[in-house]
This record gives sequence, C-alpha cells and structure tokens, in this order.
Amino acid sequence: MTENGTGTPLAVQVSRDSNGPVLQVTGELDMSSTGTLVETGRQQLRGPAALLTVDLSGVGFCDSAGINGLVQLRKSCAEAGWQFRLVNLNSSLRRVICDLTGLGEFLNVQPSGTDAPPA
Amino acid sequence: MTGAGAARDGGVEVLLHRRFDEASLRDTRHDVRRQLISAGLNEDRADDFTFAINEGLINAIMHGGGSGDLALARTGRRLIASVEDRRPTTPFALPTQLPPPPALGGRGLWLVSRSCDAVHLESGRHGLRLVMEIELPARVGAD
Repeated sequence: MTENGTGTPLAVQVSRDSNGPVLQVTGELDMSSTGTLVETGRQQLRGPAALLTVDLSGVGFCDSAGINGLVQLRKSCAEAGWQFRLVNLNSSLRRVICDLTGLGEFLNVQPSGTDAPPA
Repeated sequence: MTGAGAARDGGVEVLLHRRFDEASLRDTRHDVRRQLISAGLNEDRADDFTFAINEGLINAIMHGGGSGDLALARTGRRLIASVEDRRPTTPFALPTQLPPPPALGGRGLWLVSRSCDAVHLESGRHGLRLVMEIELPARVGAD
C-alpha cells in the first residue's frame, strides 16, 4: 500500500498483446474504485473470444470488494466465452488472493516471474 | 508523551478517533497505516492490520448504513481498533468458513480474523461493533 494522503484514484489503461486486451491497473482496488475496473474490463469483451489479462503490477492494495470485482470480471469473461488471467501481483496481494482466500486457480493467477505480458 | 507513558503503564492512548464514510475511506485507511507504523508495527504487520481495519470500515459502509465510527488505541503492547455502525441487525457470529471461489461476497469478515491477532464482534439492535487487536513487537515501549 502506498503512502498517499490524498488517495489514489484507480487508473485502468487498456492495451493489447497477442492474446487479447490487457488492463494495466494502477492505484488502490477498494470498494470505491473496483467498479471502474469491472466496467472497463466488461467493455473489452467484444468481438471474437480471446484472453483478458489484468495486470496488477501498479496495485498496492486490494480489499474484499476489490477481490469481488475480480471475481465478477472473471465470471463475465466466462459468460462471454472469454478466458481471464491475473498477472504481476505483489506479495501482499498474492497473500490475500492466493494464500488466504484460495482464489489463485479461479482467477488464473500467473506465477510471478513468468507473467510479464509483452509491452 | 503522557499518552505514550499512560499506554505503557496499562492506560489507554487514543491514536485515532473519527467518523468515516465512503468519501473518507481511503484517507482513513492511509491515516490508520501511518499510525500503525508510528506505533511500531513493521510494514507487513501494518499492512495486515490496515487490511483488517479496512474490512471493518467497508462492512459498515456497505451494510451498516453508509458510515460509522473508528477508534484506534494503544494499551500496553496491544493496538486495538474498534469499528462501530448504528444500523440494527439480527445478531450473527463471525464466519468460520470461506465461501467457495465463485461466490460474490462473504469473504470480508472472514479475512479480518486472518489479518489480526484477535477479533471480537458484537451485533444486535444497537448496530455492529467489531473490535480487532494486534500485538506490538516486544521491544516497542520497553525503554
């Protein structure tokens, strides 16, 4: 979690790699900001089914509402016939999402070190 | 300084006391973490306890009427955070099981118990009160 007295609004930048859209998320994923990620993600699910990548390398904090947002987005992908993956989680996000809540497989969290999508 | 002395002598030193809502959630969380670091928790423990307290805050915002009161205090080697809202509720206990992966929700209060050393919940006609505790490292306050 970053020190920022005025708060960090969530920014979601969309790019593409050879597998499909990549959402580069920056900020804190909490109950106020997670809707931005879910909506931006759902907007990508057009055209032929592909792989939606969510890159959390710029996210230092994620609460249970943020986790719910990721679960929602993963479900939206499945409903649209898309695949979903999470990449570049820092150690505290990995602890909460993989170790504590056991969502690593459901959210298709990629192992660190092998998951950097092409720039 | 008298506050810190009082905490060492078994009294209570209030570190933070404020009303919160969704608009102040992020700032409140940041202020909490600053206080935890300043009280002597290392970064990882401060992150864990901040996570737990944030879950209390968002539970009050989402289910407790949109706002609540947070108090963070130190007594001896313990930090104690209390989150209260005033929406009457049917009494319930902290969840002991995690919902299956596809479930939306139901993880917040379960995660609280995994992110601090002790947690206590009172719920009923008065609303909900969540009290969370974490131990400071032994050396802090041992001067």
